[in-house]
Amino acid sequence: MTPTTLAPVAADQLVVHARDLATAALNAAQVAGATYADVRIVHTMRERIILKNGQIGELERSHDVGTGVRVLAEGAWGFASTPDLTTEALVEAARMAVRVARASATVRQQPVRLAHERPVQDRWQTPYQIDPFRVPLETKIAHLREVDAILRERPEIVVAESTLEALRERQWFATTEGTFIDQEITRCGGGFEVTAVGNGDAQTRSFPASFRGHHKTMGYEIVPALKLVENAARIRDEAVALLTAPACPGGRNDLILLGGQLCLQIHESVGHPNELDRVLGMESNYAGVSFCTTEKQGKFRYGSEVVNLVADGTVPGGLATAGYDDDGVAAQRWHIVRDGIHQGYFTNRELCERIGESRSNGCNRAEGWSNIPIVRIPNLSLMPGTWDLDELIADTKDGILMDTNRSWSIDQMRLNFQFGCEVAWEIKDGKLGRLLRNPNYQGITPEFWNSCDAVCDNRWFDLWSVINCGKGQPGQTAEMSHGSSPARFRGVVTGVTA
Amino acid sequence: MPVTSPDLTATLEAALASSPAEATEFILTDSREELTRFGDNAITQNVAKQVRSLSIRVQHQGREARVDTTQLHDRGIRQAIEDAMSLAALQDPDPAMMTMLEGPQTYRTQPDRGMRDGSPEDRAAQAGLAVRLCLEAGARAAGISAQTRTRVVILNSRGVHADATTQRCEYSVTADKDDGSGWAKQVVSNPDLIDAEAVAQRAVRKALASRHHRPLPPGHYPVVLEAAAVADLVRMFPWMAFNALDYLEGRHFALDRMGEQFFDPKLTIVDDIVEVPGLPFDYEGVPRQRVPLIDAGRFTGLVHDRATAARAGVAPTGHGGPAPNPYGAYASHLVVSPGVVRDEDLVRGLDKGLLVTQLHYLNVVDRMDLSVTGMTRSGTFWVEKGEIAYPVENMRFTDSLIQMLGSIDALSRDREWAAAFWEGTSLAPAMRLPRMHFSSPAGF
Repeated sequence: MTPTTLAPVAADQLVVHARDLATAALNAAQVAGATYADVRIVHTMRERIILKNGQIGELERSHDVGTGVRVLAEGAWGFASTPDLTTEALVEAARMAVRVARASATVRQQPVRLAHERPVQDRWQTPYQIDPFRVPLETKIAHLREVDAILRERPEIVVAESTLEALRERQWFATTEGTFIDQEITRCGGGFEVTAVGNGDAQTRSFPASFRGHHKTMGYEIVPALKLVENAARIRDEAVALLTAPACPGGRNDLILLGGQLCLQIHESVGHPNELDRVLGMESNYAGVSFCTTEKQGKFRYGSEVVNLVADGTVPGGLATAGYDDDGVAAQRWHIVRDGIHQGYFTNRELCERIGESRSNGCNRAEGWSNIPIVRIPNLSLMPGTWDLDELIADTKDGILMDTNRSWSIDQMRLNFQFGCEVAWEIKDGKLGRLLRNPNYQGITPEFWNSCDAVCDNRWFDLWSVINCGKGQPGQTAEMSHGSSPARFRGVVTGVTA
Repeated sequence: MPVTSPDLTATLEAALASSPAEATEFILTDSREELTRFGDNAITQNVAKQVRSLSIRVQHQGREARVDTTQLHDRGIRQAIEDAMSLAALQDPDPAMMTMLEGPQTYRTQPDRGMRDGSPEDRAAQAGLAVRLCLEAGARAAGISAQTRTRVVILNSRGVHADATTQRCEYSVTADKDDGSGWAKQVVSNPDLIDAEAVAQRAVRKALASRHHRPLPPGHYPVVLEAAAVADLVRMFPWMAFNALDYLEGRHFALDRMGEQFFDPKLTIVDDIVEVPGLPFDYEGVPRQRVPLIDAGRFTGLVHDRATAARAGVAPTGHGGPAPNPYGAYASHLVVSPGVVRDEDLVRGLDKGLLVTQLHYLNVVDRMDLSVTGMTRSGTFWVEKGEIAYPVENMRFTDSLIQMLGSIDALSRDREWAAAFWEGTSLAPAMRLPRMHFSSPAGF
């Protein structure tokens, strides 16, 4: 039965009305012929402040609210979304989703089957100490101004840009199986980048990481912990010094990567190749497929014995940490690579049985309300080893230490990658030496991870963030964290030039 | 013409009139995106998205702020204006704040042929056609059939009223068979122009021809880039070279060298929303101009938003994002001038070298020498004496746009609307280059 029509529901009234709206859509989907339906009503609140060269470059808040309805009809998927929070709009979206599903059913091989999942009723939220949306704007801007003033103390600096961001996403997820989950995720973070110009060159350094800094599912307590002010002068001076630094040498070199670069190395060469939808060919037309095909599970040597990569939807602070994914599956922790051997994939309820697993490991996520959930990289970390970083450098006779990602490119099978970093130092006779400009390295995924002979211990471990992971058509952005300690790779191709 | 909802123009005009700010701007984005995705010979995702949002900027007493909302009822809009006023009030006055654009402005109008809602049944039929043709060839099909219609309305209290709707239809197919892979894509504004069978058959032909490929050592090779590959390559220019802000900030390869001959005289690139249809205004409300960027090989142009134009003492070109914008302007509608050679003659004129169907995952190596890296994809072939000799493994290239495009043997006379991997659509010809640096093999 469809409930009585409501007037447009304001976002702040969703706590009261979300269940009724969702029920109306689920009922409409079933009446139209859906054998399964789920509804996600999502309210996302964001705040972003960018201070550039002493001026407010961007001061923006947003409220994004709407509903996505996903259905199975005749064994195929359909999805429709609407920004209108009225019963009529949700019912219309549900009917459209069923129509879309019936069209999908005309081009299918096997009917979609969802792995069993026990229905849950739950409320879940990420913890935080300081609500970032209650910290006065003046406090945030003053913090960025302090950073900015230090960054612009040298005449070579042409761009100093510092950022603070906060996001809160509240989602009400309901299914025709009886699940109703009210989930709230809060994340916060920031950083800065500084560009120096001179000597016919331009060099950029970022801190703590490039591409809008470092973020976690935390409150504003992360901001003082980032130590932006404390590191501003050092990073600024590195940018200036890079203008006259020698170029990164070519050839094969032993390479130590710090967390700011290992994060994206893990993401691109372990994360994406192990998304099961991609492995099965469903991303073939766009991002590509994967070398890590299903017959490799449990036996393929992905890396050396010191390489342990763990997926974890439960790790505190992780950007993909949640109570449940958008299939309603509870977050889990499992190995992708154990002692160098490939173990598993990122799955969802639709695909997990294709690799003989009876339960999804909870990686189906959608961006906001207007997108359909797809398999996503969760938090994925290189587990700490036993080395101290100073001892690792001392143990490296000749090599290069690189940090902070600048660019990335990887092929459609996720084998041949090439990464650029913002900064590098040469290592000579076990000691850090000169700064090196425009460092980059290239490799083939399994060869590279098999060349890893040392990982630093948990004193050096941190969760690094990816806040701009693009996937799918229509394109969606997702966030996740990749933890690592510094690690060493032997005989890597560096200094690739035109 | 509303896209997803009753027309909100009257509501917005009333809200604009009642705003307490000295100046108020609304940017309404209202879109309907329908996309059917298929992979492994079945439809895997099928969506009908409606997205509508309002971005509100206020300026008051030398301060400004922006608030975005999807709550487009009276109360929601009123609340967003109040939020923006509150945010603005918390700032120090900025004496350099740029006031909003004044109206009226004159915008180019474009025909709206084929503007209509798509149908999931039609998209499924296109997906089914690709799957059938691939299965007949023993191949595995993947692809999309998509139609997106977007209306953008910009209203401000200084008299600007810009309103336009664009539509983009895309059909692409990847066919995989054994170790071979083929791909083809068509991008148009009018869905009636999609030739689904031709696209699917082209992908299948490429897949069959690219099987049993051979390794090729890294090195410098002459190369024919098909139009899609050229589109991917030239899309790197806007990131590194065409944004006036980069130039004004001193981080630009052609600093104090504007007008110099960096490229082959056969290379001419303009940004133009007539030849590559797009919004006739930017997100500041400025009419979008046709901007010559590379003229017969000379680097001549930059695109400006209002802020960079004021700094440079020139007129804005209509390439700005929502203001204030710390990232500068973006050239999104690139048109590469054609040559005089037929497509097939580009290959016939190649004694020894490579034919590249598509490039993949390009990114910047060094913006100061315009060096980039990326992969070949979906059919890479060795050519001898003007004929395809055999398929080769995919390769990574690392090269500078200045070196690659510094010498161009020939351009095709026919051009395609080609969409790049990251984003953006360009009108591009195929191209034969005397050298391109392939730095490492992919191994597949």
